[in-house]
Amino acid sequence: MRPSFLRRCATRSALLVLCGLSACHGLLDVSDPTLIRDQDIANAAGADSRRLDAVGAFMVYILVGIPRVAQITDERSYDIDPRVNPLPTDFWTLDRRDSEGFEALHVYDDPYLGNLDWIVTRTSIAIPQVRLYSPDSLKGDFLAQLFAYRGYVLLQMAEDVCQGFPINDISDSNIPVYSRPYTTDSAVVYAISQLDSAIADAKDSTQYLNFARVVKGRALLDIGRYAEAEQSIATVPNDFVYTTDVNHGNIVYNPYDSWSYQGFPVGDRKGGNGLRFVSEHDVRVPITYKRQRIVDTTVAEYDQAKYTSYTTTTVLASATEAQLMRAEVALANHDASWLTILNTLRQSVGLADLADPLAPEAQVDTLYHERAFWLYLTGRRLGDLRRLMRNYHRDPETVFPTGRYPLGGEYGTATAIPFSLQNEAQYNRNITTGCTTR
Amino acid sequence: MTLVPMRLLRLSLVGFGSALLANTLLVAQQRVASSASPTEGNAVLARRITVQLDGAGLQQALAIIGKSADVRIQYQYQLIADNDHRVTLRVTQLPLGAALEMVLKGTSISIGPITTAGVITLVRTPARQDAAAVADSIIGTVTDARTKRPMRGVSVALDDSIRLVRTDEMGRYRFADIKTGTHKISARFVGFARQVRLVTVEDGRTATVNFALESGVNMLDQVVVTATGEQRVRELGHVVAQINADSLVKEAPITDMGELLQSRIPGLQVLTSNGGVAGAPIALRLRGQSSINLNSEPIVIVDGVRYKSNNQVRYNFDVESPDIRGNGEPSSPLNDLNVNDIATVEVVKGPSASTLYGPEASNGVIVITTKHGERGASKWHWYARPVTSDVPTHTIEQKGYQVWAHDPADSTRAQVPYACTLVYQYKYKSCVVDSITVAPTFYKDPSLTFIGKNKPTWQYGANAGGGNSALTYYFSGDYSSQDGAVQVPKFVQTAIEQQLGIPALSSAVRNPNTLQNIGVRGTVSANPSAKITLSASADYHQIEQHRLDLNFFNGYGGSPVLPPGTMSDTAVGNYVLNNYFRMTTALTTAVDRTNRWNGVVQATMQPTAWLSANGQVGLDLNGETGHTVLPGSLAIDNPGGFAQDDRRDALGRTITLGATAIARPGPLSLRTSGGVQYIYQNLDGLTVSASNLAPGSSSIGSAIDNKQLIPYWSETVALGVYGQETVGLKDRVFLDLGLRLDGSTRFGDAYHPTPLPKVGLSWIVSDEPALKDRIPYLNELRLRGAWGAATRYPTSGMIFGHVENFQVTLDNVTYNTFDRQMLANPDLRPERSREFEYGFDATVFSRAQVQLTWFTRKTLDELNYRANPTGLGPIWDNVASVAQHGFEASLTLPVIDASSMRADVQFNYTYNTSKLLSLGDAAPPAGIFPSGVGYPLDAEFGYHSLPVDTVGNTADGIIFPEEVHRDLPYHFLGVANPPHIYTATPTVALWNGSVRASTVFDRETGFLMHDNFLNTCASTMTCIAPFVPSTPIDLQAKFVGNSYSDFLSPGDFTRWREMNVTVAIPPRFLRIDPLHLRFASASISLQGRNLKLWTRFSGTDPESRSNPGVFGAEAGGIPQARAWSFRFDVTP
Repeated sequence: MRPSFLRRCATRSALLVLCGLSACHGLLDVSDPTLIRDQDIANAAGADSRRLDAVGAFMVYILVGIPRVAQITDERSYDIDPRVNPLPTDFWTLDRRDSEGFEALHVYDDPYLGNLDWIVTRTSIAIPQVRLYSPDSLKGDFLAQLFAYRGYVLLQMAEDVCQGFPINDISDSNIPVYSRPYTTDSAVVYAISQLDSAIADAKDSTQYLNFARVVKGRALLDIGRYAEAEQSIATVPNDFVYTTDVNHGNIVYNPYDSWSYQGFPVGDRKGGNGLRFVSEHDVRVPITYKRQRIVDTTVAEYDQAKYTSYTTTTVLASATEAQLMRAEVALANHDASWLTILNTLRQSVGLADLADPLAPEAQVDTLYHERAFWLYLTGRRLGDLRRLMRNYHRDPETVFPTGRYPLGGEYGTATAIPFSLQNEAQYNRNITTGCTTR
Repeated sequence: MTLVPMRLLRLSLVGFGSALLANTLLVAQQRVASSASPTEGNAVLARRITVQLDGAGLQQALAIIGKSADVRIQYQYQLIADNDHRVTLRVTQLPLGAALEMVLKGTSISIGPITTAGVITLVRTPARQDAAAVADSIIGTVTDARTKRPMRGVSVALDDSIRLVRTDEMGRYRFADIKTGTHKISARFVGFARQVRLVTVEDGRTATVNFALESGVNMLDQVVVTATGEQRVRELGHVVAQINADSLVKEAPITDMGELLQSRIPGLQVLTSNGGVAGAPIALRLRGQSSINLNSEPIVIVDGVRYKSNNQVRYNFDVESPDIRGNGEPSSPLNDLNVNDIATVEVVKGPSASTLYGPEASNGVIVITTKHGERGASKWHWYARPVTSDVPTHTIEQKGYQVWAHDPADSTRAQVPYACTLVYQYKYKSCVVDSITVAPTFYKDPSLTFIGKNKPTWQYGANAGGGNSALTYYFSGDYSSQDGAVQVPKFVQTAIEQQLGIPALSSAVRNPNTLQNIGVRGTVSANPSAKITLSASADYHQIEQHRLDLNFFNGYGGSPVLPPGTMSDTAVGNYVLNNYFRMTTALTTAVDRTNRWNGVVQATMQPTAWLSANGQVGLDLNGETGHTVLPGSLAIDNPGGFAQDDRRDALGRTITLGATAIARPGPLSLRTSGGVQYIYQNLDGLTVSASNLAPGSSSIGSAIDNKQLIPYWSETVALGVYGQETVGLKDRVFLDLGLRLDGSTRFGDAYHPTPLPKVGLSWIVSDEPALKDRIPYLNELRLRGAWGAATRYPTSGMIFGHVENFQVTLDNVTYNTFDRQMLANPDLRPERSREFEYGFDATVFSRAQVQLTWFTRKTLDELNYRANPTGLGPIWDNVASVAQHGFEASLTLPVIDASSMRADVQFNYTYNTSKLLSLGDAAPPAGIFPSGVGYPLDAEFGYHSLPVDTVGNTADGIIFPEEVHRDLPYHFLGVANPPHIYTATPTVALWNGSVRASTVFDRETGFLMHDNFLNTCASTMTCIAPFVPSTPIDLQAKFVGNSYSDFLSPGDFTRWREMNVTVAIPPRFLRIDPLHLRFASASISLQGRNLKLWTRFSGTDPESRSNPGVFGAEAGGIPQARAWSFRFDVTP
């Protein structure tokens, strides 16, 4: 409401007095050296610092999500040690069963979506700065890197988070942009658009280019556009590997990670449907004996040995995954080369060839078994299980852990990582319901 | 007209009036020394006389006195003619010198030389020393009508507050440079009925007006110090509470400001932290908390200057938070002040605070006036206060248990060394309990406990004041030293020494919790002319605090037990060290050194009888350095060591210029004030930390790794103009109008300053002619109401956002990066509140006093932390609104009012509550999770874990995790701060005040606190319930559900807060002849604090908060210490 004329007059008269007093001596001038204003870093160095901030966020938060994916799927199990935690709570396990509990309670802010969104916004802040201030010689590759990370993260959201999730963002002028609900498909399409930008901007760096191509292929597979997927990865060289930065501690390995501390052994037929990551003794899933299960001492438990130090890098995209995509495309096209591709990969690590199971469902099982072992603990497994449901019409109760939960009760029905409606709804009026579908 | 001091001389000196007597003797001795040998003169003046004079003339009185003493008294006749008045004096065996001083008091006659023949000569008092000799002045003395003792600090007003003075130690006052004609002089003092005299001043003459005040209540005539000067309470529409610190500090167990303020004022709450800790922080709340996020502390003004009173700094997200440095918590800067230097404390609540003191005063103002010198001979005062403190550990000395259990899969039945709760016994079947035995806790073992006994506090000090009509002075010095109760136990020290292979730990490690405060203060006031008063004060304090991080002890949330079996002392020490202490924390020492300087220069001018002006320039400098160190190679688990240096320099500047004019057109009185106020505040701080020190070094400069530097900076300038108009009608109805306009660097770009108005109405109903003296037993009745507006600024970071510098290491290369941690919102506005209070004050039966006040406050545009998604960073916005209301009552009842005994009791009651009206767009949809909308700001939400014993379709009496039902969704459980606070303060004075006793009881109800002991009792084995099947299933469900809210329990308590007995030393003991010592007065007090706690709360102490002033109900801390002390006060 505009102030009345009299009030304005009174106010301005008084302000004149104040201004008169202050103008003489600068009484109302202060400096705050701890505040960094945006204009202070509007230059090439500032743009690069923004880019590196996004890169750092990507490296950290992509890693943080991998154990979460492993937990809701069959990659890792959960066993509590009563000597460590004498009072069990259902919330700590973050297992499939408890994802439902979490959703029902709406108590905690599951950081999974938030962490990924953090990367999205950091790239949103960095990209315009790079466009404006980075030198031309570097600009293209920097943009390719940022768009590729952005596409990777958007796809990770699409694959892992239940439908109806938001992708909140920030505008060039630092204004929050609140998102409408995304479905898996719409998020994948969004991711593809970002990966296309990365491919278009890539100039000298083939790493970013190939990274974007593999991830785009992954996205296209997710929505059943097999031919385009194959086209996307067609030129990816056979020795291509894109990993996390070596400086970022591997959270799966970290012995002080509370999850490891609490006891998260390698899954072995977890919930009945789970793969035998332990008992198959596959070289692609190295394990080490940990202890006997606390609540059932007849069962031995094993820790993963794929990551053996903090500096072990995690593969984010590779020629191996590209080959697995080619196999999937071939299988979809009823091309027998699918098995050849898989066996060629197996031979590279000394594994025996697989026989063709012939039955279409069994062929798909074989393909996804191979994917699971090749891509163990890289954050791909939840996307695979959900693609089995979506593209191959599998009943979720045939792919996700089911039956009796080791610590009592039954596994739930969650097939995706939920997001906190309570948290989202605080700021985003577009989000009025939680997961629309699992 | 000259009034005769009849009442003054009606003095009975049997056993009382020691101060006056001693003073008189000293004066007499000085006179004797000038003209006769001391021995001879002394002998003459020491002769005892017994006389009875009733209205005798001065000449006759002197004759009778001389005859009684067998002494000749000589004087010039004109001297008596100039001082003719009537004398009433009844004394028995009083020294002659004292009797003469009394008879001659108020005259211009003094005792002159005494001849060798013993003849006493009376002379005219020299003009320089005789106030009465000043032309056109009014002088007089004020005494207590009942005790006949002179009264100090009485407000004497000339012509209805045009000028105000206070009486000195001898009860004297003086107005100089008075216009000839008739004037009205009034004298008022708390607890005494106001008296008014008319006096006519003749040209070139001095008029004497003496008062003998009768006890009674006259609360409406009390004078309070406002931003516009001293003002009568009756003129104000809002309530102002007052603490007479000068007398209270001598007669109550008070060491610091927190204790001075606690339990005195309705609506003022002092929130305490862990007990027994030297320098434990406190937080103040006036009428509760109105802001969700901004600092809720009232501001403190000392002698007109803004005083830094709390440790609030702004962190990266620009939320004002307690400044935690290194280990432990720094003490409250408010407690830097020496309470012995404080004259009065006034607490301004309600709508007027902001108008008079600026936007930051919207939480209320605590106005502290320090002591100033008074005219007269130098008066010394010495005090000493030894204190011994003990933390009552019975609440944490609960039984400890040892669960003897074995693993059923283990054929050897070896005992399982963990808590074999019912869940593991019956659900997982991973252990079987063999037996449960009571094990000793080690709180009671002095060598093992971390809470020491009989910790001392020492407080010494002296002050001196005096002066003459041209110059007065006051100087003081104070030293206090406190040892906190928290300690590293002796056995643990020994174990650490053995583990490290060192002969002895450093003194800093062995005594990690101490506080020393040494301070000096000086005030000089000058009257270069009758119209100008200049005053300068300076105060310096040096404080050293050894802070201890209470987290050095793992188990203070429970009562840990020793392992079964016999162990050697060394083994016990090692066991305790390894299981319950964090060695790195115990070995880390943190020392804060503070240099606090504040000073003010004040000038008051009264160019005309109707106009006065004043100006103040003040500084408050607070420089603190902290050094926290874990020396390299000292701790086994952190061999590199660690160091942190903290520096905080806070600077405050206050400049106030104001003027007040008074006019009396007809039946009206107009009091017009205006002024300008400039306040500058700056915090410049730095925290530097690093690890891996050079071996043996404690210097941060030798550190190699993890160097981190955090700057703290804030700068605020505020400039405000204000005006106030108080219109009185026949001294019965007052309309108080005020307006203020501020500019500040903390206003947002889009903010247009809005004038802050206030309106107050005060109606002295009992003075209305239709009612005056017509309602039986009603002495005073006033109705009052006030309305006012206030604002509070957002912080600069809230407006500008926050971009933070990080370092990112990619492929072994470290880069600087910038990340936007908080979004900017340049459109932020200040929080706006409107407060209305109303109530009445009444005095009935002459001495019973009632004050009732209701208040409501509504705050709009509350700043709230908009919970953006993680990827966006937070943003502040003006989205919320909050309502508050409350009620304050104060009742003073005279219980006994006899000649030898007087007893009063004062009751205070406070109720306040708040309600979050809206969170605006930030509010989540209803029904999912309580946002707090519709609930108090300090609401506790949660759920209960309830048993549904159905597993296996049988009620087996054992609750499994799946048998716990939670009454979701989260719902309101209660509030964290007490809405109801009751205080009772009985006081008794015997034998005309020679023995005085007082006590304070507090009761606080209606709130929840978290019982950390019960919450952790399974893991600490301090309760048996989690292990035995006989435990009721309701309790089992709590342990299994293990929700924080399951262990919230009512914190209601009653505490015996204070006790004091003060005995005035009889005069006959005030002389120590062998040492030639004479004392004017002396007293000794026995004082106790926190003597007893009655509570249903199952935890340790509902007042031991983990973080006072911060929302939450954690009370797992160390109980408040019980302290006993003596206080000795001596005036030479």
